[in-house]
Parts: sequence; structure tokens; C-alpha cells
Amino acid sequence: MKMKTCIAALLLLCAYGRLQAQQVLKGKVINAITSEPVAGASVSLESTKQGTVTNADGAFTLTVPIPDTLVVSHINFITQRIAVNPLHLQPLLVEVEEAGHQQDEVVIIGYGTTSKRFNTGSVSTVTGKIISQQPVTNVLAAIQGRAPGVFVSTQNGLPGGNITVQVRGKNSIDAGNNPLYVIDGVPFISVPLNNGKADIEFASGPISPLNSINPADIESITILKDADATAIYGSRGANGVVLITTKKGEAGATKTTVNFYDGISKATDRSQLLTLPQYLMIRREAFANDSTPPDVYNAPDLVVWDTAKSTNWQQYILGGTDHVQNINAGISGGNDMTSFLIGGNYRHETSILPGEQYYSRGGAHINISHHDKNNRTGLSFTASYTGDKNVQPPPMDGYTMLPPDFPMYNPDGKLNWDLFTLNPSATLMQPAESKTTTLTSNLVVYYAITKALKLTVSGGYTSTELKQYAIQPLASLNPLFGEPNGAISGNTAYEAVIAEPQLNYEKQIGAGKLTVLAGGSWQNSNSTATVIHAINYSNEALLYSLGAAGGIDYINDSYTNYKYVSGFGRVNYNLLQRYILNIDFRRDGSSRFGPGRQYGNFGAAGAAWLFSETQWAKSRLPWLNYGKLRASYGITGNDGIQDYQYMSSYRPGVSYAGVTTIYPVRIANPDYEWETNKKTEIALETGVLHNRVRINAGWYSNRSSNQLVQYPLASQAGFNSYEYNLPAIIENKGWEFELSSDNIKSRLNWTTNVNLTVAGNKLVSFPGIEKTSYASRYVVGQSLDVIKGFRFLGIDPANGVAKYEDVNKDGVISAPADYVVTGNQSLAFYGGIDNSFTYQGFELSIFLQFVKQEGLRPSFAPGFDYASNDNAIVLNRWQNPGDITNVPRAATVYGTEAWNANLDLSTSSAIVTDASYCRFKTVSFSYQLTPSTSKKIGMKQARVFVQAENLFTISGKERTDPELLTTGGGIPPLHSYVAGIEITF
Amino acid sequence: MKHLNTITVLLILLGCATGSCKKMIEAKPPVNEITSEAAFKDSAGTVAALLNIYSQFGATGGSIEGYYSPYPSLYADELEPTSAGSNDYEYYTNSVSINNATNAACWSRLYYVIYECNALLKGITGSPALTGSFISKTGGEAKFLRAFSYFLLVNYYGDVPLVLSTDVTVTASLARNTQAVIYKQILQDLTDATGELGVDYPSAEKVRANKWAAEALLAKVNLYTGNWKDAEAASDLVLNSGIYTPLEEPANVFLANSKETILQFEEKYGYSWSGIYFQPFYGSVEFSITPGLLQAYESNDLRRKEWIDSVIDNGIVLYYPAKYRNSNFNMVNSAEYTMCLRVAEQYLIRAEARCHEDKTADAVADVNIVRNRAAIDPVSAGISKDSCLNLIEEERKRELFTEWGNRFFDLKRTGKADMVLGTAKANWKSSDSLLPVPQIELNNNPSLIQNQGY
Repeated sequence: MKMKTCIAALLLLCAYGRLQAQQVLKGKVINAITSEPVAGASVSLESTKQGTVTNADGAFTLTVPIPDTLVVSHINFITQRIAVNPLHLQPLLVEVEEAGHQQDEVVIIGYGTTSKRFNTGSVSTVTGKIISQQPVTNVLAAIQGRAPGVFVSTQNGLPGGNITVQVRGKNSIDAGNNPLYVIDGVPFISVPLNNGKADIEFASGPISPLNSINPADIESITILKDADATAIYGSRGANGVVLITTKKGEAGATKTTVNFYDGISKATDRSQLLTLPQYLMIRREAFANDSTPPDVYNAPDLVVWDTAKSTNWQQYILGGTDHVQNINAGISGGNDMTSFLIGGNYRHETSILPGEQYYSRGGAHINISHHDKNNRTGLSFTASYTGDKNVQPPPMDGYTMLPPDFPMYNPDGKLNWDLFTLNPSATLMQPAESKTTTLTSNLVVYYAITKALKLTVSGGYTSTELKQYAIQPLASLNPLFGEPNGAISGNTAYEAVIAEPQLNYEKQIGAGKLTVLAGGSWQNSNSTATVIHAINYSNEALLYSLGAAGGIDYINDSYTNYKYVSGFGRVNYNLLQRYILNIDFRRDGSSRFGPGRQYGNFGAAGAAWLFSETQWAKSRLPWLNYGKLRASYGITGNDGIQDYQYMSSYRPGVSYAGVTTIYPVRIANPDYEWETNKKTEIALETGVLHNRVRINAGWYSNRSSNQLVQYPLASQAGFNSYEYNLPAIIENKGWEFELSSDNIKSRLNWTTNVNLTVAGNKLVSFPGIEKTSYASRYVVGQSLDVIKGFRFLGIDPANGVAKYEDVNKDGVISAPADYVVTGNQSLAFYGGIDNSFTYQGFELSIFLQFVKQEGLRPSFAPGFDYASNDNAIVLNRWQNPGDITNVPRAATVYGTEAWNANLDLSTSSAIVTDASYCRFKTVSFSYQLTPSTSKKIGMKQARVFVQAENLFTISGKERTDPELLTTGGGIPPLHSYVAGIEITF
Repeated sequence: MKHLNTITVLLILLGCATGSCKKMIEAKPPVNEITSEAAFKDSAGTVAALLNIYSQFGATGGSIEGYYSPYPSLYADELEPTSAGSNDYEYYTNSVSINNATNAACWSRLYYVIYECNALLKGITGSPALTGSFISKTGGEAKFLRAFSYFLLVNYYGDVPLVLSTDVTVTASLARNTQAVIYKQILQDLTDATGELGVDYPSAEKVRANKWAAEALLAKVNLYTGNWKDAEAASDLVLNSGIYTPLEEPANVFLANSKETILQFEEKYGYSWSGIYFQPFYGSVEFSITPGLLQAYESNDLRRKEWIDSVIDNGIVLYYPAKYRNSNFNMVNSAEYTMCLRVAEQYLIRAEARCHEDKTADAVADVNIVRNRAAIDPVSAGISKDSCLNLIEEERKRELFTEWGNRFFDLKRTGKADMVLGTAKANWKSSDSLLPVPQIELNNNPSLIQNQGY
């Protein structure tokens, strides 16, 4: 220690002695292709880390005391290193090449960064630029189709609707398949806060938590896929990790940017339904076929309702226009030591649904970074706060199938209750409101203990709260059921604190560089929920006040505390910039497991070989600019189960004899453990033709086992199931391909990016499956997404009755005995194709997304009942003996042979159909004014743009939008058109 | 030095993470749950756990009466469905499939109750904070409820697993025990309960079992097992308690806390499952009373007048049980509670026991008390033993229809199921006297074997 101090003092003295000889270096950094100045580039000396930042003209001034290496770096450019000598200093022109598509782009990984070149794992990145081309409400919609191995699907297209992300398939039967979301180092929730709380029904369904993140605040989204990339997240890396990095301040002159767009969204294609005359004809035919006269009970649509008055329910329910306005504004700037960014955003959308629905969101984003002069200590603080308000009725999409003559009101002006509880007018009288507030914040402090050793401590706090309120006035309730009027208030919240100390050590050892990371993580999160149903309001004007209620029907609350503590490490050795070995390790402790089962070890090894750097390749394969072979293997875990499954406990139940009773909640199992996922990957990365064409191909195989399931029990044990590890194995295997090509590179630039994933999912083994209720859903040896049902054998030409295979030959068609596998909803392949063109200030980007899959279409039982219209396909129904068709006879009398057979259509192979599609997902066109023109109007930059999302879709006509795999109803992603302007001054 | 300190702190943190800093991953228990130990730490928690068991039977907090009243009536000769719905229809046609959802619930809901009873009995045993008399009284109630549950199970399924523990590693794989073993446990539990329970109700209303409830069920169980003397003795005790007699007007029998009531399950909303199932909805009913049951009444029988009503659907007159008149969509009475045990049944139990003991005159006297309340003529005392037994069977049919499977169980225990149901029902087979063990139970516990005929 003493010795070291001495040497340091000596060095300092020497440096001081040299001060007299120092020289000032002046220079300018320009873009090698456009020759435009590069502002905000960091220019520093390698030995002392002393440095500065280029100004708006790309110029810099720096004192150079000793011969040294000048390092010029900028996030968008390849880092340049130039030798400088204080004795021979001349003005320096540094040309930097854009880092775009190059192998030296910075790649964000778990607890650090690397470059594409030296990365040993499988990582996909979607840049903020790609996100900014799409006028989406939820940022997850913007990564759809953009990354191989990442499947994004919209569960509900209305604002706030949930969007799920699946990285490399379904790995788990019961413990969840959502990836881990990490925003600026802080884990975020992946499941909607109101999931499973059906108290407040909302047209957009469960609300996606990621909806609270303003897409424009995002710098990049990185998806970690293989063991090498995810093992550092240990027990939560099994389903992949989505790292969301928000924008940071950029050094340079203060810059103000305002982006505004305005546009509309509409529902996508509608189903072809029967017109009123067709509907009436088929309903009457059904009664004639069944030799039963229609009456007020079995056919209000024929004998009560006005058969001359038709409503197009699809148009009424989904025909509206969602008008969207979105504004983002931000100021950023700073110098080489301190930079800042402050941004604000506001979005307002109306709804395609009838009535006065809307969605609005506003928020602020802030980042401040600072480091001392020699960059030895520094900190960075980032925080975002978003509030949104969503006003919607309960789900209405089911009403699109109402019979065309269904009247919302009876002739006497009262609501029509012939369909019991169904009436769009009544639903619209029950508006629900949901407000979300989300705060994400993160502080990183670092201190370089020595040149080689750096201590970083990051801490974060996230809180998100969802408040919902719905009212049910008496007029909206069918009086037959005598339900009281009421209001439901739901309040769910999640908050998490995280602290992560890390040590980084970097040292040249022999011919290679050793990088070591050691860190710890401690997390504590709480989830709470309270739902109150207040009833019997004497004054409905006070429905929004719980206090005005005549009584409380129920109060449900819940609380969970989740704690998590880990130690992790990474050792990376890069030999000759050619051979790289990377080893990750993590030991996790999670409160989700019982005493003695809380800890688990996870880890991975990855290796890469840059074979293009070998002499052999350089001489024999001169066209190969970049070639890397990499492989990884490791184990990650999944603890995505409910909390407290190890605890034997009681919960409050109904009141009895004046006492609030308590009931046993579960059979506790103190012994279950992590679900594990063993991931293997081998990949090849290449760059040819002066690196203008880059092709990557990878093969992966993930086997997850020790499945955490609710293991079925004979109910004599008191409960039907309990948490249990099952030795079932699920395998996800596939190929991922990426091609990116700079087709034309001159004044006109044309780049193409293609990604393709060919995936397969298989339940490899499930001991004793036949004895569990899982047998009705899964088949060993097949995908987890198999569809089971009756095998449809067509229509008997003699009588028009649908026929099914009697698998067990017992003479009757019964479920599940006669079920067979009728289809597979696993994705066969999927991907995206992006073509981007730039010419002077113009930029055009066209993105196509495609999916090959099977899905279900709506059933087609002609004239089935008076509650639902039919698809136009029923016009091909069987009518007379001898008719050859695939649509059965019309039937409406409950329990008849034909009716029963028609009922079974909805669980048969007859509704399994190809649900593949190709979507023109995004078209974005923009024009940026030339710098001189911009300057003339007093701006640094000005850009106008038009963008279209989900422009049109090519798919089979048998179903509505194929993104929703449900049989009917549902609201698919909307198609949107916006125009906007972005100015910087 | 400063660096060293930092490193030390960090190493400690890391050590913590990799070692076992217990506190750091000890989750706080949820605020809306208490651990099983905490639940039985005091009398309030224990009572709360006990009362939940009662709530499982009625419509406010559970479902069991909803399964055990309408369905055995469909299965026997009391009810017929008005349309061919699959689940109900399987009961009516005596072809309950091994996957029938109602049947699966009949089995599993009772075993949940049994689990609750076992957990309570385990929890209070040796709990230091509870007094001996409290333990004995709550234990008595839990044993009563466990006995009632096993009584229903054994009459529905025959042999069933006898579960007296909450240890899943033991209970989940138990095989079926013989009916004799089950009945032995039921008698043991009830005998214990009659000793442990007091004559006063533990609650303000008659919604928790007292000593007489245990005696009443004991009488019924002894009747079912042919212990005539014990049956007579137990019902004697109930009838002589003076609390429940003279008999209530038929119209008031099912109202909350009626004089008739020995034990009811409290209904917070004032209606029961039977009300929900049987009351007309949209001008029709789901189940109608069979002509056979309808014809069993004399025209002036008050029970026919008060407990059976009709609705005209599409010109067809449908008769339906109207013992309970309130439902979730139609409240016409003051509050009705779900009846568990009532005193008229005790007269009929004593009558039957006495008849078997050749005390025919006393038996007829008991029957006449029930007939008198229904405003029909008394039967003369001088009838034969066989006629007396027949009379009691008919009276039970008229009195106890659509209540807790009484009719179906009576036909079975008197050996008349094949004769009566074989005539009344098209598909009746001898093996139908037991319902199938739900297939899902067999799937999840290979030690269970299915009843014959399924």
C-alpha cells in the first residue's frame, strides 16, 4: 500500500514537471461520409482520462502533456484512437464512421455493456429510432416483429390493452412465460396489476403495466435471450430479459426538441356477418327444420322484435374513430462533466367505441449525469413519472355479434332485456375509469478505486398504482335479477426498492484483457390490492362517492411481500481480440420459497471465436470482413409463482353469525424449488462485401424442467392442488436468422433488415400426465399449444347433421373421451422485413411483419339461437337431402341431434384454421429540412413526418384479425395514421 | 485505507448475498392472511375458523345444500327437469357420468369441509391459550359438522376414504374405507359432540349446533344403521327438550329461527339454494315435481298447499317445491335460512324406531302429530307393523321432499330403491344406488377404486 502511494506521488511529480512542456491540441470531429461536424463527441486522453466534448461545430481543444493516445468516441460513431505527441501538435481533423450496423456498436447487456464484436451471448436490440417511427401507445407494440426469437402479441387493441412478449417460446406450464423487464436497472412488473381481478370489467381488459412508459423516452430496448446473456439474472432469466434503457442527456449546446403528431385510428377488418333478411331467413329455416313454431320465449328475434329495423352492430360498436394527439418536448445539454435531459409528454386519444371514451397520458422524464474532472467519480440519476387516465365501458366487443334486429329499447322506451344482461346501452351506462401513476427512478454512483477497479452502486425505486372506479346505476341492470345499484372501487399498487453494489475490475493479462464483475442485489417489493363493492345508493348522483352508499357488499384486499437477495459475478477474458470466454454466475435467494429452499445457483459459460481475425481467414477469405462463431450453455431459473405457497394460513371469508369467518387458503408445501431452464446456443455471425451484408444465424435449444405447477390432488386432501415441482420437461428449439444489408450506399441509401425465427415447442415428458387434469390440455411429444377437440367429419348429405369421429367407439360423441389433437397454435415461423431509404432529407421506412400459425375461427352453427348473428359462411348451409356442403343444417331447438352436433362445432376441428398473416406494420415517411434551411427559420433541425401503423394485413378471410387467436370478439390492434412535426432549436 | 474499507463493506454485502442473511429474504406475511398457528392462538380466531365451516353449507358462503337438495331428488322420484340440460339430466336419468361436474363438486366440497374440521381439531388440540371447556365445545361443533359431512358422503358413495388428518402426504393417497368404518367414526364424533355441547345455542340464532342438534343427527344416524333403541333414545331427548314443540305452522317452518328449527345455516341475504333452484324464473321452472309425489298428498294437506306451488309455462302446469320462497331474484318472505335439522323429522325418526321395536301405537301417535300439523286426518293406532312402516315411509316422503336427499336415502336404507325406482325410472339399475366416484379423484389418487357399474 505504502509502495503504491509512493509511486503515485512520483508519477504526479513527474507530470507536474512536464506541465511546462504541455501543448494545446485543437481539432475538429466530422462524419467521415457526410463531412458534417459531430457535436457532443467525447475526446479524451487514454492515459489520464482527461478530456472534453466537441461543440456544435465539432471542434475541441485539449492540453496534451505527454505522448498519448487520443480517444474520440460518440454513441453513434465508431471510437477512433489516434496517437498524439505534445511536441508535434497540429490542428487535427478526426473523421469518424457511423457506428450504425457496425460490429462495434455498443450492446447493452446485464450489468454492463459490450460490443457486437466481442459479445458472447444472444442479444437483440430495438433502437429508439425504430420506436419513434411508430405512433404506438404502448412501446411493446413497437418491437413486434423486430427481433428474432421475440414474439409480441396484442391481447387487446384498445389503449391500455395488454401486450405479451414471449422470448423463445413457452417454457413453463404454470409459473409464467413473461420475460423479466428491467428499466434502467430496476426490475419492473410484467403482469397487469389488475390481472385476475375481474371486479372491474374494462373494455381493454387487463392493463399492460408497460403502457405507463412513454415510448419517446426510450433510448433502446434490448432483449437478452440465451444462457450467456440471461444467466446474470439468475432465477429470473429463464424467460429472457427485456432491458429498457431510457434517454440520457447529451453533452453539447443546449438543445430543445419538440415533437407533435396528430392522427386517427380505426378498427381493422370486420367479419362478414349476415344481413337482417339473411339472418331472419336462416332463423326461420331453423324452426322449420326443427318443426317447432317460433314463440316469444324461443324466438323474440322473430316474433317480438321489429324485423324491419336493422342495426349494423359491428359498425355501432367498433365503427368509431380514435383521434390521437401526442406531444413530446425535451431539453438536453451539458458539458463534458455534467449533462442533463428534461422531457415532458402528453397524449390524448378518443376511442373507436361508442360514447364518450378517452385515454390520456402525461409524464415527465429527467436524467442528470455528472462526473468529476478525471472521471474518477460520477453519478447518473434518471426518473420518469407518468400518469394516465383511461375512461372506458365494460367489454363491448361481444356485442358485434348481436342479431341485426336486436332493439336496445322496447317500444315503451325501456331497455330491452330479452338477452338477460346483454344490452349495449346498459353497458354504456356503466363507465369505468382507470388511473395509473408510475414512477421509475434510478441512481447510479461510481468511484474508480484504482485504474483497474471501479465500484458502482445503483439503487432504484419503482412504484405503480392503479386506481379503478366503475359505477352500475339501477337503470343499467336487468330488474329481473333484483341487483342493487352500486359502485366498485379498485386500488392496486406495486412498489419495489432495489440496491445493487458492483465491483468492476479490468486488467490486461498476458495477451488478453480480463474483466471481472462482482456484485450483489437486494430487492424488496410489495403488492397491495383493495376492491370495494358499495351498493344501495339512494341517490345515483352520488355514485362516485363510496361514502354515499347504503351498504358495502364486500371489501377484498390482498397483500404480498417479495424479497430477493443475490450475489453475482462475471469473468470475461478476451485473448488477442480473437478468443473470448465469458462466465456468469448468480446465487439467488427468493422469499417465494419455503425456509431451506430459498437459495439457488445459476450460471452460464459463453465463448466466441473471431475466426475472421485469423491469418488463414485473412488470406483465404478476403471477402469476409467479420466472422464469429459463438456458443453458450447455462442454467437459469423461474420463480414466477404466487407468493406464500409454503405458508399454511387462513383468509377472511363471509360473515356468519355476526363473525367474519376465516378459511384455510391452501395446502402449504414447504419443499418446492426453482423451475430451471437449461439453454444451449450456437451461432454464426458474419459480415461480407465490405461489411455491407451481415448475416447471422443461430440455433438454440432450451429445456425447462422441475416445472412449478399446481399439482393436482385428490380433493379428499382438502384442496384440488398445491404448489409442487414436477419433473416435466419442455423443450423450445429453433433457428434464428438475421440479414442486414446496405443495398445502396451513396446519396441514396437503401438498407434492408430481415429477421426470421423458425421455432418449435414440445412437451418432452410429463410423468403421469394421464392422471392429471393437464391431460385435457397437453399431449406428451407435442407442442404446449395443441388444440384439442372433436374431429369434424363433414356434413351428412342425407340429413345435414354435422358428424364427428367417435374415437372410443362407444356410440356417443362425448368430451373429453372423443377429443383428438385438432391443431397446434404454436408459431411455425415468424419475422419481419424492414426496408429503409434515405435520400437527402427524405427518409422512408416500410416494415412488414409475418407469422405462420394455426388458430381458431368463429363457429358456424346456422340459426343456433336468438342471442347471436352468424357469419356469412352459414349461407352455404345444408338445405335439402343430397346437398354436399361443409356447413350443417340450421337448427335451434335445444337438445335435438342436429342442434347438439352444431353446438359441438365450436370444440371441433371444423373451426381450426390457418391463422397466418403478413402485416404492413409500419410505414414511416419523413423529410428533414437541410441545415441551412433550418437555420434560416431559426432552428437547428426541423422534420415533418407521416406514419401509418397496421396499414393492412394479408390473411385468410375466415376470421377477423389473426393476431387475436380467440374464436370471436376481441379487439385487434387498430390501424393508425398520423402526421407530425419535430423541431429542434 | 479508504478503499480497503469500501471493499470490506462490499465483501460483507456479497457474503450476505451468497451466504444466508435470513432476514433479507424473509417475506412479511400478507396482511389479509394469518398463519394457521396464529388462527388458533385465541378463541376469536378459532370461532372464525369454525363458523366458516357452517357457511360452506348455505347459499351465502358455500354450495353444499345446492348440491345435496335438488340433485338426489332428481335422482330419485321427486323431481323431473323441464328441459334436457346435460348435468341435471344425467341425474334424472340415473346415468351420472364419471365426469359429471355436479357430482365432482358433491364429493370435493364435503372433503373441503372435512379438511376444515380436521384442521380446527388439530389446531385447538393443545393450544395453550384456549381453555379446556372452549376446546371441548368448539371441538364438539367441528365433530358434529364432520359427522354430518361423512353422513352425506357415505349415503351418496358408499365406501369413502376416512380422512382425519391434514397431512397431505398421508391424506392424498388414502384408499376407501368401508361404510361400517365411516359410520363408526360418525357415531364416535356425534357421541363426543353430545357430551361436549351444551343445551344452549352458542350463537344468538339457531345457526350453530347445540347438544340437541348432535342428538338429532345421532338419532338419524342410528335410524340409518338400524340401532332402533339408540335412535329412539336420541330423538326422545330432542323432543322432550321442550324447545321445538309444539310444531310450527307449515308456512313458517323454513323461516329463519322458526320454532321447528333444530339447526339452520344462516343466510345473510335471506334466501337459500333451494329457493334459487326451485323458484320460477322467466315464467318457467327448471325442475317440476313428479306426478307420483303430487299424488301422494290428500287434497287438504297443508303441506301440499304451502310447500308446493305451480306456474303455467306454454299452457303446461308445472308444480315446483316452494318450501323456500325467497330467491336471489325474488324476495317475498322474511328471511329464510337453509334448514339442516328440524323437529318434524325427529317425530318420524322416533316413530320408525318405535315401530321396529314393536311399539306400533306409540309410533302411530308420533306420525299423527306430524299429520295433525298438516291438517290431515290421524291414522288409527291399531295398524300392523308393516302398514305402520309403510305409513312412515309415505309420511317422510310428503314431509321431507327435496330436503337433503331424504327420499333417496330412505329408499336405499329400507331396501326399496330397486323396487320403487326400478318402476318409476326408465334406466334404473341396482348399481345406481351409489353415485360414481368422480373420475378426477380416481385420476389423482390411484388407490381409489370406482363403484360398480361405472
